[in-house]
This record gives sequence, structure tokens and C-alpha cells, in this order.
Amino acid sequence: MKLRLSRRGHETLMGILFLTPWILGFLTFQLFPIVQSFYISFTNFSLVRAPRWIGFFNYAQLLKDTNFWLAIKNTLYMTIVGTPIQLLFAFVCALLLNQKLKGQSFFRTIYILPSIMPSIAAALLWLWIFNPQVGLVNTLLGYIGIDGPTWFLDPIWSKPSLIIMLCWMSGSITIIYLAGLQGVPVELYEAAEIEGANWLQKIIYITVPMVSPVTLFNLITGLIYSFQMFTEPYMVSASVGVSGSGVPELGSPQGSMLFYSIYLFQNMFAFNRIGKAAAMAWILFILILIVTLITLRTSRRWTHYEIR
Amino acid sequence: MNQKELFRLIGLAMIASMLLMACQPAAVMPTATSAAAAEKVVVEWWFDISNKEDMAAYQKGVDAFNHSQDRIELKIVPGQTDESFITAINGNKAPDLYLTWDGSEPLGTWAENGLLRSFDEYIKADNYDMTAFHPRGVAMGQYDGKTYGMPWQLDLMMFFWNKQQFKEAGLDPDTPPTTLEEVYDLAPKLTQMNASGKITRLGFLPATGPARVMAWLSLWGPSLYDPATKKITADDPKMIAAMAELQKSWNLYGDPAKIDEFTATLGNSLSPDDPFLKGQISMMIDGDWRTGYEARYTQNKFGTDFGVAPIPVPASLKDRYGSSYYFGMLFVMPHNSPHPAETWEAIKFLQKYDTDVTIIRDMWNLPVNKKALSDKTLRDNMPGWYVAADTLLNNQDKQFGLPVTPVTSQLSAAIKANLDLVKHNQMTPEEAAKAINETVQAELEAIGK
Amino acid sequence: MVLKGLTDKATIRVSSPVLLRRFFRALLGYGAIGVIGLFFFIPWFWLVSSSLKTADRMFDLPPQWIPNPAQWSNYVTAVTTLPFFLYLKNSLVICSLVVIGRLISCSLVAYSFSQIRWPGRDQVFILVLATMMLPFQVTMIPLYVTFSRLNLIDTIVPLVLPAFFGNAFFIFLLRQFFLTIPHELTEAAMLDGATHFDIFTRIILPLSKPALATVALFSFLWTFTEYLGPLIYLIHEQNWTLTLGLRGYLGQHTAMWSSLLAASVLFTLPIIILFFFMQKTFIEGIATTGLR
Repeated sequence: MKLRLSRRGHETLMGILFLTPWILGFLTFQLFPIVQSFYISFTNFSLVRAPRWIGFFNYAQLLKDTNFWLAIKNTLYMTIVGTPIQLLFAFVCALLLNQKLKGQSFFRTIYILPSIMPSIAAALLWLWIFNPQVGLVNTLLGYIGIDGPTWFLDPIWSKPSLIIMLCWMSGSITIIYLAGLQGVPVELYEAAEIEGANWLQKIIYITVPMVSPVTLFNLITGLIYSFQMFTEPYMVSASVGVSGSGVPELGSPQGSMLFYSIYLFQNMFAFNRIGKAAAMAWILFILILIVTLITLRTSRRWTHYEIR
Repeated sequence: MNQKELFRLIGLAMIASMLLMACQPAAVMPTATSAAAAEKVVVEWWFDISNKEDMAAYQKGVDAFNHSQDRIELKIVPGQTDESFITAINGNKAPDLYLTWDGSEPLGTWAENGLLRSFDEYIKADNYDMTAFHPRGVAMGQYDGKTYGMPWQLDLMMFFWNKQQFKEAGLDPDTPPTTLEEVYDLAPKLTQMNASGKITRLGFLPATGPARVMAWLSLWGPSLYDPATKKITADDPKMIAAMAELQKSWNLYGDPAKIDEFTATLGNSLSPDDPFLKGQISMMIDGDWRTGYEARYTQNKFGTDFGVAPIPVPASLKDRYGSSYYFGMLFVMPHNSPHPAETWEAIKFLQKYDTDVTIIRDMWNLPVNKKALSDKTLRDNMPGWYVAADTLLNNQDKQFGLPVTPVTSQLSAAIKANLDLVKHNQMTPEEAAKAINETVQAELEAIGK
Repeated sequence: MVLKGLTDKATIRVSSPVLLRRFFRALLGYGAIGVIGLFFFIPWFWLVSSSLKTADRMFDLPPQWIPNPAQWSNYVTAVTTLPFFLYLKNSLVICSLVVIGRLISCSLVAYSFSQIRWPGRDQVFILVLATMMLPFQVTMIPLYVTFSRLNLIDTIVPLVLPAFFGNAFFIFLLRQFFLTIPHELTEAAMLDGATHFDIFTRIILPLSKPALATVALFSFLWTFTEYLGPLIYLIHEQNWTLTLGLRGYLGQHTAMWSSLLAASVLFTLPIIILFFFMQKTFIEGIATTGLR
């Protein structure tokens, strides 16, 4: 007997059918851990002993924790300042790489080379480049008579140094922009040229709006990543800490690199305060959700989808 | 060729290379002998080392144990950190044995949370002589009246100076300073700067990094925790005095940032480029293991070119000379360790005097076994090492370590973070003490809930 | 004036001002790419050059740009000190499986979110996005416990299996991409009696090569450089990936910096090769569709 479904029913069935991999994955690998972590955030679970319910204690404690606010401040800095800078830089790189010049394959490989290095190597590399006495940057600055700061060792300059390092590693964002640039119809540029637009006007009035969906994608994923950033700052702190003590000094110098994800990691594995870490995770989740929704809402004004 | 063919070629090449690699010999490193392993109980020892040299040194102890009996086979599983250890216990995939690098920090937390199995029943059953070990080492592994960690190797912070540079400056190379005031006096005489005012040779390196900062605190020997009231006491006057002096030492050359600039090169201390060996620092506090660097990288010019002594103390605390900060490794057993009895046998063997001696020869740490600390062959063959050993043996009451509490990791982190600010004149010692008390006390109360 | 145009093969009759403008434009183009290119290239060059230095010249001040002597044996030392190729093989096996899994699962799911209209679709999509927002640390331990109950610790299964069930980031990426494929194509096919599966395999996938290549490259890259996952799931050395294995160059009192740097350079080679060959596919893909 053939089951006759309505058109709509058939579509729904197909929709869910194609969705099956995700549904199964969500139920098996994500739902239970997510629900459990939410529950644990209201307990004093530390490791092995059964968790005991303590209500909002973890959340209240976090609100009074100076390190918590420091972590939020540092993370917000990276998100609000760092993400747009990286996006802008990647966009400019994509524009440059999109030109019809000979040897683009070569240049493209060079531009994304940094993003495929293991983070520990990248961290060591940039610690050396930013070395106050013998590093490349201060040496070059010295040639033009500027006394460079101590970069990663200076609480004021440590985050900007990290942003520069992240721009250097932003190859993946560049690639996505590059793919997006391919989709801008050439006719638009030609029409603009006829009307006498120069290169800057073309970029501002054609390119930027046409790739705005890509920008939205990069912005959202960039924000989410930035809020959860862990590996790069951890590797930098771990490498700085290799001074005979062998222990990564999380957050150094002077707490300027204590990011949310790192403080969470510290609470979980160094202090074994799993309940508190879970509370931190859920606070971050809400924060990211709010920021993403705001971004999506305001994006309607500046994103332009191809009218079909 | 077109794209499709190119991709096919690459695909084939990748598969081919993967097959080639699969045919390669499985491991370049030696693996433990298995032989008739079917009968033997395998004890897995998790350990955070991955370097071949280090492993070879510890493997000697393992091999000796395996040869000494037929029942148990001990096996090191390298590359396991505190994180993978904790995760494994939670997932019921716990190893038999874990050796943690700095036992004093996590022990209290792990014990409090039921992660570990105590050793007391085995100690009692075997009438095991814990007095053979340095009391401080033993204390490191005890929490709430029970023994959760068996000590193995210790480290102690010492004072090092460059004898050649002393000679050049007209000082007696064999007489190190014994007070901080002397150090402050000597430092400018030994410091050198280049034309643009950047330090090229540092007379005295103030306490950088957690171990050195703790060593600094140890000179005053503050009490950070009161078990009677269960309160953190970072506002102990000794602690305030220690912090004030720390701040003073960091301002020795003017702006503390100058020292940061200089210490950026310290990351290379694990190589022939070590700044102290290259003469870029005249006096510094560092771990006892540094005597091993000298042996490794300078062909044992220790004694002639470099010296080691206890850390100089403030003139007002002359009787504290010989005090230092100790920390070290602890053997711990997960509460769900598969073979606790066999693991205990392995631990006993590794803690024996001869095993200690064998391994220390390669690793240059300090054994916790008192007899090994006085071992003649070690002393004669490891230049400078005996100074650290003596300091540890003869000054047991003056040694300072972190108190074993369920929040020692938090305490250590708070001390590091706040003292970092004090060093750089961003906080006063009193403010730091208050901050440490507040942060860590909150954690302590949370655990008590 | 007859001059050879810079970008055209044939000679063109052009007036001097236009030619001059084109020349300067190209110069500026190369100039800008070049300057920023230096920013990307110099650190990389420093890395490779340092990997060839002898131990005592490694941290010289001022730094040595061209190592002399160039110790190529650093590379030999690097791959013989540890079972480098074993770790590499492990990494490659895991990465390849993850790439396959992601390509299959994420494209299927993205199809559902973009080409099929079903009630609740957009709300479920927000849920998918939301899963990206929860920090990984928090689901780490419960997930480990699950795998441990299934006795899958010290195997590659925990690292590979989830890839066959979709990943929020790549689902998002592919969905955006699929949305740009013109409806006329799919509607025409449906009128001809094609099933969704036909449309998926015969229209959507072939038109999405750039996006699929992006998914493959990024999946490979991020899995190749993963550390925490392999740390807790791969216990014994013979199962280690390269990221775990690189720690073998750092000892308690020694550090084989040259080997570590050489190994780091080798570490990136598979990805460079992959990228170089894949460039054409996902950059100069199709003229009509893009990530819109």
C-alpha cells in the first residue's frame, strides 16, 4: 500500500529525512550533555561526588568574582575591537587577491599560509617577533627611531598584539570572502565604470553591499568564535611561561589576557569547580545569543540578498 | 590534465602514502617488554612527559622494578596531563597510578572531592616507614589526616651567581651575598647597559614566574591558611612584608617594565642559549635543577664558573637563612584504580633509595628519600647538587610550601595574579592581601556548601 | 602608439594615458599585494629559516636571516626522534574520515534547511546555530562519559563519529551557499518529476563545488590542528596525532627547539598541498553562484 501524503506532508517528510543526521547527532552527542551541564550549573559538582543542589549560588558567586568581570572585559574587548578589525583586514586581503594579476595562486597560498600553522608554533613565532629587545617589530621600529613597547609583556599592548597575530592568521575569513567576491556580477562593475565611478566608489557601492551576506556570516561566526577564543591566548601564555617554571601563567601579563574561555578552563580543570564552570558556560551562551540576535536584527538594514 | 584527473591523482597519492606509512614500523621508541604478559598484572602509570630522554631516565626505574619480580608489569603511559587524568577518572577509565608534577596544588582539591584513594591502609599493613622521607615531602601528600599522595622527587629554589663576573667586579667569587641588602648593593655594580639604556646584563633578576615568587615568600615564611578557623590569611604581616620587599626589588632598576623586557629572553633557558649560562644575568633565584643545566651545557664547569647557595634573606631575618620554597611530585591513586595493591608495590619500589639514586643521576631533581639526599655518589658526581640537598636536609623547619587545602590551586593562582600587579606597582601589598583573601575565601565557602 | 597591453596577449592599439593608467593600476595592485604579502610571508620565512639553524644560533641577536650553516639535518632529527610518520598517519586518517563525514552530513542537512520548505524549519535552524554558542568545555566531560560507557576510549571513534552527524558551522555555511542557487533550476527539475534526492545529487552538489571544497579544507585543517580532543581520547602513544606528538620535543629540562620548528614546518605541508590544489575549485568556481 502506497502512502499518499499531501504535497505539504511530503515536503515535511523529506525535510526531516534530510535532517536526520543532525537530529541523531543532536540527540546522541549534544542534548544530554547540554541538559546535564545546565543542571550542574545549579549544583556544587566538583568531580566525583554526587552533585548537590545549591540553586543560584554559582551564578551569584560569579557576579561577585573580580576575575569573572575581568574575563568579561577582556573578552568583550577582543570581540568588539578585534573582530571588526580582522574582518576588515580579511576583506581588504580578499579584494587584493581578487585582482586579475599573474601569480595569484602563489599570493593566495602565501596569504593563507599562516592560518594553517599549528597554534603553538604561531604563538612561539609571534612571541619572538614581538620580543621587546631582539624581535623583528621593535628592530624595524628602531630603524625609524621609535622605541617599541614590550608587546605581549605589556598589559596595555598584549591584546592589540594578539589582534595583530589573529589578523595574520585570518586566512580562513579571507577565503570565504574571496569565494563570495566571485559571485558579484561583473555587469554591475561595468555599468559603474560607464558612469565614471572610481575604484573606491565601486568597492563601497557595489562590492560591499553585494558581499554583505558573506560579511554577515563572517561577522556572526567571528563574534561567536571571539567570545569562545581559547587556543591562541592559551598557547601564548603557555609559551611565555616556559621560563623555567614550566607552568602557563594564565592571564598574564597582569590579567590582561584572562579571557572568558580561559578562566572557564581554569575553573574546570585547575580548580575543579565544575558547577561554577557550567554556570560560566551558560552565562556566555546567553551573552552570545543576545549579541547574535541583535546582529541578525540590525543586519536587515545593511544586508542585501539577491532578489529572485 | 584537467581538474578531475588532478584530483583523482591527488586522492590516489594520499591513499598510497597512507598505506606506505601504515607499513612503517609502529614506533621508534622502545616499548615495555610484554613476553608472557598474560599472567602478569599490568600497572599503568600515567605521567606528563613525552620527551624521549626524560622517558629513558624514568624507564630505568620501571625496568628495575619489572626485573625484580614476575607478578607485576609496570608501564609508563606518557603525555597524560592533569586534564586527561581527571577526565579519565570521571569516565571510569582511570589509570592505576598518576604522577603529578606539582602535587601541592591539586592534592587538596582531588582528595576533598573523592577523586583519590588513600594510601593509609597499605602503609599500615606494611608498616611502611614514612620517616625515611623528608617530612615536608610527606606533608605535601597529606590531607585531612590521611595520606593521599606519596612523595617522590622534590625541588627547592636556590640562589645562583656567576663567579667570573664577581671576579671581574672585584668581588670574592666564592662568597655569595647572604642578605638581600647585599644583593641590592651588588646588583648595580654587575648590571650593564647599552648605549640606548637597554639592559644587556642584569645584575640580579627579581622574582619572575610562580616558583621564584614563592621562593621569595618563603624567606619570610608566612602562614597563608589557618586550619583552626578555616580562613585564608594572606594578610599575615609576614606576607605583607614579603610583598612590600618584592615590590622594592622590582623597582631596583627603575621601571619594572625594564625587567619584563629583559625576561622576554628567559624562555630559552631549556637550551644552550640559557641567559644565565651566557652571562646575561649575574645573580638569580632558580630551581635546584639548574645545576643540571650547567652540567649539561657547560661540561661541568660548575664550581669554577657558577655557584649555588641558599637564597639571601632580609638582614632583619638572618636566622631564616636556608629557607626556601619546596614543591614536587606526588604519586596518587584514583579512587577507582584497577589494581591498587600492585600499584602500591610499584610505588614502594620506586621510592626506594637505589631507584631514587638511579633516576636522580639523569634528572637532577632532589630525592625525597633522606638517605638518597645524603648519597655520596650523587654528591661527588653532580657538581653543585649537594648544596641544594644539604639545604633541604638541614633546614627542615624553615622550608615553606603551599598549604594543602581544597582551594590551593585557587590560592596559588590568586597569589600569582595579585603579586604580578604588586610587582608592577599596580597594587599595594595591603590591597593584594585583601584581594587574595576575598577571592580564595569565597571559593572555600563554595566548597563547603 | 602601439604597445603591448599588460594583461592581454595580443597587441592592442591604445592611447598612452589609458595605458599608463593600466600600468599604474597593475603596479598599485602588485604593490599592495606585495606589501601585505610581506606581512604574511616574513614570519613564515623566519620560521623556516629558524628551523634550519643550529641550536646555538637560534636566538641570536640580531637574528640571522639566512642560516649559515643551514642545518638540513634538523628535519631528519625531527622525524627520527619521534615516530613522526606514525603520528602523521594517525592525524591523516582521522582528518580524512572527518572530511568525508562532514561533507556527507552537512550537505544533507543544509539541503533540508535551504531547498525544502517544512514547518518549523527556520526555528530549528536557530537551534542549530545556538549549539555553536555553548563553550565546548562544558559538554566535554559528559560526552567523554558516554563514549567511555561504550568502551570507545583510546580509539578514533569519538573524534570521527560526530562528524557524520553534522556540524553547525558547516551547515550554516552550506545553507547560505545553497540559498543562492536559483530556484528556477530546482523547480524545473521537480516539474520533470525529479525527487529531492535527484535534485540534491544532480543539481545542488555539482553547483556547490566551491563551498564543498571550503568545507573539506576547513574540516581538514581544524581537525588536523585539534589538541584537546585527542588529548583526552587518545591515550597510548601509538594512537597519538601529530599535535600530541609535537610535545615530545619538549622535556622537563631540555627543549629541542630546532626539531620543534622543523616539525612545525612539516606539520603544515599536507594542508599547503591540499590548499594549493584546491584553490581553483573554490575560488574560481562558478560565475553565477557565490556565497550570497
